[in-house]
Amino acid sequence: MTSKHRSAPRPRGWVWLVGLLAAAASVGCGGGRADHVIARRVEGELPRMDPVAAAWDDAPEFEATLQPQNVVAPQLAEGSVSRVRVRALHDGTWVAVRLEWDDATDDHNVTTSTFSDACAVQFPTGREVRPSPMMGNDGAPVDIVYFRAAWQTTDNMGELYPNMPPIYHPAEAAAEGEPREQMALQYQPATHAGNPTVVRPDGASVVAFSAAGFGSLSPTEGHFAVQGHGEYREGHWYVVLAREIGDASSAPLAPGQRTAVAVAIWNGSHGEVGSRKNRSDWLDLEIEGGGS
Amino acid sequence: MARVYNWQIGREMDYPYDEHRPERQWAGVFDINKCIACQTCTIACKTTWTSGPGQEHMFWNNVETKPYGFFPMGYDVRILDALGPQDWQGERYAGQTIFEAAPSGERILGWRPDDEDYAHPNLGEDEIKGRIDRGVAYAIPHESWMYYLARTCNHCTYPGCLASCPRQSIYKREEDGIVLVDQSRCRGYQECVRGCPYKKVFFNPHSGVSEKCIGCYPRFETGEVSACFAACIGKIRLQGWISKPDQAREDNPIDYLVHIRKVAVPFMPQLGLEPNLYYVPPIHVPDFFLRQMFGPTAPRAAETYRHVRDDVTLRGLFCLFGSTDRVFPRFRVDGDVAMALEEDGTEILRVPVTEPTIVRPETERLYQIRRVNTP
Ligand code: SF4
Ligand code: SF4
Repeated sequence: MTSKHRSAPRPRGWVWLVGLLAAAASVGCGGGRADHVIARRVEGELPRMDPVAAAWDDAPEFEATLQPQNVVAPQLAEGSVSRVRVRALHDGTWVAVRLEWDDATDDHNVTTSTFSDACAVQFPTGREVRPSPMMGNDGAPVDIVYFRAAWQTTDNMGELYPNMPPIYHPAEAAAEGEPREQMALQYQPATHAGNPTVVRPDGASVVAFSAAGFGSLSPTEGHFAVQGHGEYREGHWYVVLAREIGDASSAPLAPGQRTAVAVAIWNGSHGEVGSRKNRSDWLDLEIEGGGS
Repeated sequence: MARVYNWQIGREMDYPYDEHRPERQWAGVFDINKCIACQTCTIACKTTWTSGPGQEHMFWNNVETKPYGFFPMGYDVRILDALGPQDWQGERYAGQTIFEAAPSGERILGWRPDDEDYAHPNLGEDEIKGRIDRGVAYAIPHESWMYYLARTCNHCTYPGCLASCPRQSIYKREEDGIVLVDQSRCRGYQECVRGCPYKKVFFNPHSGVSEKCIGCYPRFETGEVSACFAACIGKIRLQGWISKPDQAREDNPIDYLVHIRKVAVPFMPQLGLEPNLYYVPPIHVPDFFLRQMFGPTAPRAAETYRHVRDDVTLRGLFCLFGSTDRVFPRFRVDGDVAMALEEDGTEILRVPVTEPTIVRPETERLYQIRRVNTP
């Protein structure tokens, strides 16, 4: 503020009042800021694949702080993302979280030199016990919805190596069925093994995992469906991570519940991957009740 | 960290997991003096295992020219440099291993190559150590030298790759000690690429998962040597099982070379992984370089090899290198015959230790042609 502003006459009391009322109204009927994450109920379509849909403007924003994971080796010595803006919406069957953070580079390919930008949200699986915020613990597992920018890159190899001449790959040339399977076993073992890093339903960029402690991340075998999508715009990532709420009678995410969510962000160009990540603590999450 | 015994450095050391040796340990001996860098081994591996998308840059087997060749670029000098001075007191390593030198917050002292570092797999090929002044080429030992170093994964007893993986996606097989990356568990964090000082785990940018040499286990399980061993033109390779030094057997070819005659030595033992490929060091390379690359016993191994001609058993065993595609757990040298044997003593094959000399007339009478002096 310049001295000119500071020397300006103080606004009258009623101006403050109007300001306060306006702020309260913006939280009350959408948008604005909140002191915890509130998943607002939407009546129309839940933007499960659109992180910049207008509907997000109606969800209050909570700014979470992140810290580098420096408890378990390998650690992230220095964090690169310290703040993430969190919004949430639900429609009674699905809950969607939209993360927005600043990142100077759009890292959507992985090589030995570079990793992909990525993010994840994590939920406790029970209503009573709050698991460790660091991927849960034995007996208190967590559900994780994970997004990797590289998984939305359609031609990863073409982007990385534009001058690579066409190369004959026996696996691709083999006839469909048994011969190709055999070739894949030999030359594309991760594909053959159905590793979710390479084989995802409909090529989704979001995968559901569960974990009960560090190093225990494993696919959920479809016990809840997930969807999501990321968009990088002018130095910001906007990513929506959506999951099914599940059986409303027992799910901690059922409308009217207060539960928790934790966030992790990976900045690929900063060498962040796996346990080298920026993470939040548990954030209070309120699933707004009411409606049908 | 657990305390484990590493015989290659003559002492206990720190390792993230307890000492657990497999029932049998895959091992190989490479006679560097015979390698001609034909790369047949490299291609045998390439066509067998890494002809898929995202594997273009991978050479699970590679052959580089030392001292200036690397794959990937600078892999050995970078880790040696990062580790700092590596002192030996006799055969006991007095410095730190890469597990002991792990910086705070890390599982291992490691580094990750750049994509570009894989782009020139045979850079420095045939480069010699220094320039050759007039006449120097005739001096023995040569002032300038180079040698070929064939490498695959070492299927280490204490694998750096396995130690660095936070997901326990890498495991060492109980039945043969082969180290594998579980292709369904790996999530492509590349901690193993960072942690293996030999850089023998590779990242596949197409699948997003790391991959490594599988020791040709489908062949090995049927008693056949790995593809790179079978294809070796120079017959520099011998594959088999290695025992712990206190259980070494005279008639086990690998034990005989490594433990009993100590003519084959591990590559960079000071890093602490107890690698299971052993090298007969090149006899024309200065001792200081041999010591840095193969540990303090390398000059003695080279000396033994210099006299192999007068050593009946050793000479016989070297004649069995590359003689059969079968893994032979036992051998015997009897007079002028060397035999590869099965565990129960059944003979797999026999070779003469001294090739018979046959003198043939200069002119072939039948066809009326002259012979040229080509063996
Ligand atoms: S050489 Fe490298 S990849 Fe192979 S077992 Fe040892 S540490 Fe692992
Ligand atoms: S095939 Fe044998 S001789 Fe040829 S490069 Fe490989 S190890 Fe050396």
